[in-house]
Amino acid sequence: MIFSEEQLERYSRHFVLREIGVSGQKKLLNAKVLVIGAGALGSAALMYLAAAGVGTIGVADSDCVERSNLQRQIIHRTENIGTPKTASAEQTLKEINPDVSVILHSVQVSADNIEELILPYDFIIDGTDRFETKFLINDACVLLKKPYSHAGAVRFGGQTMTYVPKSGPCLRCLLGSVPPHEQNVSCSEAGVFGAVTGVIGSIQAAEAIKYLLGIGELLVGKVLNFDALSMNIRITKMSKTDSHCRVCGENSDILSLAENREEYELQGCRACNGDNK
Amino acid sequence: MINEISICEYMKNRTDDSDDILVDIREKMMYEFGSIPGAVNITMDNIRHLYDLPKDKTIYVFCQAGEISGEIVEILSDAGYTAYNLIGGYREYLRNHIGLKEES
Repeated sequence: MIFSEEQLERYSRHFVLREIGVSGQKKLLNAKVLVIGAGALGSAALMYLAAAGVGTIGVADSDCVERSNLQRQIIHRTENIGTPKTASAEQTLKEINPDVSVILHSVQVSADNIEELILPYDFIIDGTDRFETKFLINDACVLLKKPYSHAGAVRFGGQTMTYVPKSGPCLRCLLGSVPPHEQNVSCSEAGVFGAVTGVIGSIQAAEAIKYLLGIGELLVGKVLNFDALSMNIRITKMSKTDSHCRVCGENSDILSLAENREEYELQGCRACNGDNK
Repeated sequence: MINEISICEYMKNRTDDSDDILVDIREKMMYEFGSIPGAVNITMDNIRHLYDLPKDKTIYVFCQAGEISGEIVEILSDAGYTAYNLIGGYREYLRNHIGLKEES
């Protein structure tokens, strides 16, 4: 491909990195990454993906921007309150980098639509805030052999890990199944520190880009935990893929999303009806 | 795959009246401190000026060690230029050509 003069300037800081170079930039421009959830985690991830020149970025979200989001969901602005998050995200991304094609998926992901949604993409980023959805994304990515970044953040802490098919454990290897509802907290009840979500979301973008370029070490088989209060950063190695894992193990019993759909359904209660992460 | 040529071969083959273009892509300060005679300086901050180079001339590119210049040659080649990377860069030039008589 021929770079325009603007692209030469735009990506010059990538060209001189040995791990990226001109060929790496071409790879990024040809790559497709989907971010599910244009909330706090998604904001940071999306913006850095666009800045880096990932050529096609999918944004999946069914919500509208609310004022309480703006404390951390930095892809959205005050003027966007009330508008769909997908459209708001698209506006910011195009302003950051007009090279990027932004594909909007203004849907709530479910067992019925997620496989078709993720199929065209090279890497998936989980920016959602409910464990039910996180397990849906996990299982879909395992079944469709899509690499993805799992993450979550609440209060002052966040965690992230990366799943690469056949290379390491998945979310179920780590957590087994959706934690009991009583154990889950929503950001509206517990609160969340904006900058933590930026740190974790940025790491997710970094993992996606590293995967696309084939560089560095990914958080495969590792969980990164970050606590912004103590500044403790810990990377914990997981044992190898759990052979008993229900979706990626040897005798996996989750063979289709439809059959397991009950686990993915959001358990309704006032906590779950709170705002996104 | 990009075109490459050793510094020695380049220096041996070039003549006073050749209209090939030699480009030093290092920082201005390094260029002014010392460069290969006849080189023009296009820094990474002025990278868009690469496309001001004439398309009908052969472009030889070097940097300090020969790596970043390779990236520049890829950019130029994609854009239709005939461009060569000078292997080893300015370091190799210094090793082989400073203080030595022209090789016969």
